[in-house]
Amino acid sequence: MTDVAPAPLTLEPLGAGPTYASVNIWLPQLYIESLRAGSQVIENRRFEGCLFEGPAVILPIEGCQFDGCDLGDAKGDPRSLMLAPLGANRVVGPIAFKNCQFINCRFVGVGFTGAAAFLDDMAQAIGGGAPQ
Amino acid sequence: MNDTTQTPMSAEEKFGRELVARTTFEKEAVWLPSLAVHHMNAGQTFIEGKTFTECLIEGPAVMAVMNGTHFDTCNMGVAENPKTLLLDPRGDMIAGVIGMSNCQFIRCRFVQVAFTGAREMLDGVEKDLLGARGAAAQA
Repeated sequence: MTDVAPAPLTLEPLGAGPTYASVNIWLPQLYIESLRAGSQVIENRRFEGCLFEGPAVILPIEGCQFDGCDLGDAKGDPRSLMLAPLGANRVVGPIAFKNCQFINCRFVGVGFTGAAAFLDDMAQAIGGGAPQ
Repeated sequence: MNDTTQTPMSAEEKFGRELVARTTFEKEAVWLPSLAVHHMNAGQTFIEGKTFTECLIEGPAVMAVMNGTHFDTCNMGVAENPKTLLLDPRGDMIAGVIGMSNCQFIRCRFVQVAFTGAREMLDGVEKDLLGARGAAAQA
């Protein structure tokens, strides 16, 4: 099997942080760098004034704060940014964050998943969307 | 006066254009986020009309399974409970996912990839995964 996809990507390494200020962050790259450093969960980071780009779905699992962030273009319905996991305790595919602070960050092409209560809180924080 | 000067294409742009133009992938590792970004750079908001045969499809990614996309004898990922591979969109639009329309996946393996789409599709995928697991247990 050949490996054709990752080779031509020429991105500057984001590094281990733990603090990132005014950086453009491609979420799959951040995940891969964390994975190469030995963790599937992106943990104990502080992002200030950063632009996060997808396509990616974020899973804040514990201790994450979003302060003054633009979570993306919800097309008039905050629920457009939310996906509910069908599994009770585990989810595959999204990028997990733990104990991370997002301050005045902007998200483009990013969805959010997590427990129902978290999704309801996010939807209401964005635009008063009615919980499902 | 016409300006015939052309900016040389970078190696990355050339690779991206060739990747987007391809319709078949065979025995390759495909990093789904990269494939999606190259399509977006080419103005395509979703990936359409490609056949992947015996490929390793890698995330992290959430794939929106759109019209005409089929999975034939694929390993969708490590999961005791198929529901851990499925996400249900809460709104009519879906942010952060990679749309795939009229794509065929034949004997592919998915790693760190979740799936979303219409509720009927999610139910169908869950049923297929349960069926595949049952067949494997009986083998």
